[in-house]
Amino acid sequence: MSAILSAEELFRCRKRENLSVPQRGGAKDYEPDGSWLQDKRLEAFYEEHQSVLAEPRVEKSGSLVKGTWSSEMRLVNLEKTAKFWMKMGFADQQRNWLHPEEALFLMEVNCLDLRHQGLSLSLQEACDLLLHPSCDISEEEYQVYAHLRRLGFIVIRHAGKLDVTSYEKKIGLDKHARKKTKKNSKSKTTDCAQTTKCDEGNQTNISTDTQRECLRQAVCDREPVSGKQTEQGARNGSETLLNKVTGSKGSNQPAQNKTHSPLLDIEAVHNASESTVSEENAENRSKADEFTAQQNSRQGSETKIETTVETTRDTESGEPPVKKLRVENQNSKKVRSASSVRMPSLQDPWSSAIKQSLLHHSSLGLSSWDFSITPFPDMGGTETVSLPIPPSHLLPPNTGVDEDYEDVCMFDVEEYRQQQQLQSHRSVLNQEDEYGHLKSLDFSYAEWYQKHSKPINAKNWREWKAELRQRENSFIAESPVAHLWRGEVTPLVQPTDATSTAALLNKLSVIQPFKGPFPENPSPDAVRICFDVYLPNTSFKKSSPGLPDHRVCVVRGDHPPDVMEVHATTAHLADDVPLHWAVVNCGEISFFVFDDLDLPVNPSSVG
Amino acid sequence: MVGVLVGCLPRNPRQNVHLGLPVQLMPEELSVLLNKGYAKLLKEKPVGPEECEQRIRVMEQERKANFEAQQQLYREDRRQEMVKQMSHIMEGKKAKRQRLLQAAGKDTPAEEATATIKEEEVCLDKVSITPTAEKHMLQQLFTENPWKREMRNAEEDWTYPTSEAEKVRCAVFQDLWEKQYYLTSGQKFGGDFLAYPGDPSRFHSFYIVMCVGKDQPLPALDIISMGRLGSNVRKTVLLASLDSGGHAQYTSLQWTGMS
Repeated sequence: MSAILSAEELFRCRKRENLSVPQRGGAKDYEPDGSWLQDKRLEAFYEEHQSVLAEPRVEKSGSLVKGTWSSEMRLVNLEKTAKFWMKMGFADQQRNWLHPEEALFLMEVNCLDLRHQGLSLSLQEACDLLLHPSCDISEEEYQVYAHLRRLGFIVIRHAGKLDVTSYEKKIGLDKHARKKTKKNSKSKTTDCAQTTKCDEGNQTNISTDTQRECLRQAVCDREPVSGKQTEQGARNGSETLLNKVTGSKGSNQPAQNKTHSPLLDIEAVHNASESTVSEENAENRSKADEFTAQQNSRQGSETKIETTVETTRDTESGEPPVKKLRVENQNSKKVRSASSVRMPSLQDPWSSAIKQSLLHHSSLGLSSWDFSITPFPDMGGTETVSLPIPPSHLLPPNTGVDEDYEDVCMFDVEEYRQQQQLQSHRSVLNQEDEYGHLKSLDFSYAEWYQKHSKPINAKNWREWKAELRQRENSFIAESPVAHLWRGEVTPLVQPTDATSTAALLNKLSVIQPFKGPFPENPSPDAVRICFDVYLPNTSFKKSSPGLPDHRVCVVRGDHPPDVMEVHATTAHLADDVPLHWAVVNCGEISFFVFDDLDLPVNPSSVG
Repeated sequence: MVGVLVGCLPRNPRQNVHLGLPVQLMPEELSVLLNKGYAKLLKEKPVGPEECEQRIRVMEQERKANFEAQQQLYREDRRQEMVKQMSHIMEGKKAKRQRLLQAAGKDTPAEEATATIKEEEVCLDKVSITPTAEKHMLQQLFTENPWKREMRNAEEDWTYPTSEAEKVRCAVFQDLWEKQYYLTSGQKFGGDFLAYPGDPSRFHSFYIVMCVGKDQPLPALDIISMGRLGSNVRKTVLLASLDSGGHAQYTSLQWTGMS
């Protein structure tokens, strides 16, 4: 029974004299033999055990941080932060929060004084409250968390799939956080005031803040498309906007996104100009405001998208879809470096049509085109089609429209069709010429040899290898390139491997077999991954932790995962981060790892 | 009953070698304790708001009284330290006085200096000791709930064992426990329990116990793997099951290679 210590006893505890921990194991006896010596040793052990366990937790009141448990949020609110803040917790709307497992661990290491409704909690009460099943952390998960933290690792909740290439990981780009600049901190105050100032075409010099706001709204308007696409599209869209602004043309514009980028361009600008009008935007603006506030409260530094999303509870408004935040952050990143934006006046049919289609597409899934409104030219029934001239900023560089045409340009459909037919004819002819003689050839020695070689009969490895070598030698001796195998260095491939280019390259392992495609979302069989673990590193930045060094999944000892679950859990992650399975059984934890293994292929196998 | 420590040790919380309270019991341990009547399972009744208020008041009062007492103790401690260091303090004061006089430009003879000092001997009682700030006050963090609470018996909530396998485990545990063996979780060796002849921290385990159902078919591969494991770690593998009368029967495995 832990006694409540008096002042004298507490005072005595202030200097911790003995930090030694009783050893585990040590020399053990074989079996109890009733000897006096053994009994004595046992007694001494028990006494030490008892005294060590009964020591009270005493800490100076200045080194304790006060925290309040909030049951609605199921998080702990901190008044001020201490050294642990660099590696734990998150901030949101001017308040500092800790997850329940983080708070409980801090209590155990005597750093936190947790209060609930004004009353300081004991560890027992805190366990009851914080490890309740309604919070997302269970007893077993907490035990694994505490185990890893005691070892020194930095453990955060699983942040989902991260889009980090192996090169980025190598150079540490995923862990790089942009430094806070004066511009960012200034924007904190001017943000909310400026969102209402977007006017149609009148303002020429709008500051970065407003522009950022407008872009954010624009992007928020866009309903979430499948994650990657939106990211790609948005990234390129904002890039084009940026390029337009600064006057330089982007060098690496992937071809397939060209269609999207002008779209987003106009959309962004238009939506900005229409923001005061449409009510849809008003709603999104409030969401955007909250995003901004939240964004800025994170010290204006770059926030790695996925971790931001994960650590933010959906506290502000309902559920802003995850992907919106993603795209929004990307855009704000790009836009901050632009100096000013000139809003062109857009009153041509293209843009209005596009604008309409975009405002309309809320119910559509993948496609953002509404074919009933977007004016696709109909080339089916007519001989000539008249097309409106696109605005000059949509055209690729170095092209222009002939001055003869003022409003529309005429397109001759018949001529086009004839040209197309000619081209296809020509290509057919070419193919026949080039590969015709090969098609008539139906004998390939390599294929014949592979088909007709008898399988090797051998009783053990040694025999098999010997037989293999003999076959090789006999074959090589007969071929015209036998001289290549005379020296010490021999070719990797043999003439009989030459059935096709693909087979050759495969044998040389020049092209690695494609391991995908990787599913976008975790499959329903997958076990929930609990934690991302980072090595104890002083350069860990909470705002952009980057790709974790390990991931941990917690399972109970009586329900081990089966092969399908193991595979399903790692399938969608598609990166090289090892996943550790922590099996917890009545307080005992063991870690297991499943590694994918590629069976080795015998390079000299023939047939 | 052994149990497993799962908390951080107050003395040195950031290590995994020796953990501290709380202790986690295996479900079989708890079942046996309840069955034999050695322990009671209690659950706390929820506390109303007036009780909460009162607790807050008590807590604040206690803390305040405690802090004031600590203040006194700090003061005492400081005073004692000063007594110990009295000679050093005197020397320091003398040196300082000398320096000041020299700086003032007077060449006072040594006797005068010492005379002045003797007059102003430091009087311990008159020395003012600054009160220590609140941030230095020591506070106790409770592991166990210190408040007086109402508890109710929660034995009905304990529904273990339910399935057949669990029942077998429980019965085997009880049987071995009655035979004076200490039992812990067998996760380290791939079995259900580890049976020790004495305290697990002082002795090595003898047996790895695997509980199997009476009619459960046992694949040959499992038997082989358990046998190999047992011989490699020098423990005997026990296959335990319940016979028709509900008594535990044990079979031990020994791997003998025939070559």
